[in-house]
Amino acid sequence: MNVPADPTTAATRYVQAADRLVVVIVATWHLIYDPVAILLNAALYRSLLPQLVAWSLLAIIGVIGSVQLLRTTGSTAGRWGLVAAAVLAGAFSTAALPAAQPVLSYANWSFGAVGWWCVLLLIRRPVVELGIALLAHDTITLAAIVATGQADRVTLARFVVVCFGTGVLQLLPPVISRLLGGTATMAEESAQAEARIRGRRQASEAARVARVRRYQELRRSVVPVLAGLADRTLDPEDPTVRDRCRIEYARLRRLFAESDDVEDLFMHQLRACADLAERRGVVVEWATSGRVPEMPTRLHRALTEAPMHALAIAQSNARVTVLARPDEVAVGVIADASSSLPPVSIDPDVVVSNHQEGEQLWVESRWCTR
Amino acid sequence: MGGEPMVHPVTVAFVEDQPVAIEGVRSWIAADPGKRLSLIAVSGSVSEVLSGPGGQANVLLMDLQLADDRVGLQQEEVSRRVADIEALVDANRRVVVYSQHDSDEVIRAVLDAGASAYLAKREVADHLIDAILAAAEDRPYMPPEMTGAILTDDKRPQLSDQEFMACRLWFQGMKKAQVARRMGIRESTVRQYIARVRAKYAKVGRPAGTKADLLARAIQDGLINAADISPRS
Repeated sequence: MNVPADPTTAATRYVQAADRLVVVIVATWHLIYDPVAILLNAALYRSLLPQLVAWSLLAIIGVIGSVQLLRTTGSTAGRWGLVAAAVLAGAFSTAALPAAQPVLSYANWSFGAVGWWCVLLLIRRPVVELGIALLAHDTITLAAIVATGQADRVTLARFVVVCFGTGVLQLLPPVISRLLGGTATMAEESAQAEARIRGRRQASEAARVARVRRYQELRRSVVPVLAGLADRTLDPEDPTVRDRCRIEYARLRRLFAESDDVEDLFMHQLRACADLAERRGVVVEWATSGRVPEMPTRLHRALTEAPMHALAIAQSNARVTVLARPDEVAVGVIADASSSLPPVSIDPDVVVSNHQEGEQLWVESRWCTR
Repeated sequence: MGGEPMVHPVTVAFVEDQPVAIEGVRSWIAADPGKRLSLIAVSGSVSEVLSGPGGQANVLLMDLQLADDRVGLQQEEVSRRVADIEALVDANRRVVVYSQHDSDEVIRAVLDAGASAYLAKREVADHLIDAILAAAEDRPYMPPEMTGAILTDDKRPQLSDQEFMACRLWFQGMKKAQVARRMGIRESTVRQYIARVRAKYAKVGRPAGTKADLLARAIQDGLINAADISPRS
């Protein structure tokens, strides 16, 4: 089937609307036009039975074809089998007419009907297949005209006009269905392409804003330290100044780590915070339990801020722990350090605690949604 | 055994094939001032240990990594070792496991099998003696790494906020006295909280004799009451 299967696209909706239209035409035709024709001409038939049989066969084929079309089930072979059955039912009805009865008359109701069955069964097939089916049906009717000796010029001319008129009408639904479906698909594709471009533009804009914001943050914290060192208002001998420098170094390291493409970004950033401590010879012990849930950068930063401080001022050893559950992440650091700059929470969703006992500092930052 | 003064030391059989590790454990046991443990058998294989005098040992100490797997403990190796522990536990043995593989999954599998305690290698120096003594008496013992694996287990029992906090701080590396000061409670209460979490965890997963004994002992000691371990409604 050359129709998009996704029921949500506009193209699919157009195609489905065409399908429903054909089902309605066939149903109306067979429930109103055909019975009326049969009943009004009942006196003309040699027997009413063949007409009723043909009508019933077409009714069954119509129901099967409608269900298959609306549910988009059924095979091509099955569909053609039903086409053949419909055409033969029509031929049976025509053959049962009295010899004197004109083939092109109201009494031969099936001639006008069967074409719509072909449309119903083949609307989703290439249009040429429907053309072939209609041609076969018309050929059988022509054979009946010739066989009953009615092939005079007027009748043949009428036959050609009727075939042409109904043929054009019956070829319209699949053609329109395809045109609408194709146009809608094109429109959708271009809308999607536009959305992709828009998305990329928004992403790069967001990245730019985030970058600008990060540099502004750094300017607030790093630049005063550098400026102070440069103009000698900050003394490198002062332990507090050294702590500030280490913290700012760790902040820079963490900033660089934020844009890395790694599997566990949170642990990656936390390790970046410990990087300088480890380079200074601090023995850092790690213990993690549980899986850190997906969370925004804002929380990553808020959770690593206090541990970053503690690690920056650790003297010789530190234990870093991460305890993670879907609704809770607790990062703890125990280090031999005296906190000259007690860490504070930078985000309302993250609680920072610290506890100094002699030379041992414990800090914890904890996010919990319980 | 129970709480009477220990006249005879607790006997330990040790499954380990790395000389350095054997020496280390030997010296720690020797350095214990109370001489509360006695190492009576050492071998690289479980069956060898059990066929000798180790068959009578009170506690089996086991390294999760053995000679045939130096490059790293593979999944099937873990399964094999866990099956070993299950068989030992079902033969009514107390097993204490230590390993350098401290992933939550390995720790939980070892505990599920019915091991009394799990120690990360770096915890051995601080916790080995106490963990073995506790195992011999069916008392709960929980080093920090094991605590973390239990706290983050989806299947863990319901814990009170206080129990969870005590365990969290313990996992983070605080001493129990520090946890007590931080929480404003007595150190004995901290011990109780942590031991209670371990005891409650014994009802999780595979039923095993050691787990039932641990729970029975915890009830007897007044650590938990029977209502704590009845199936959750």
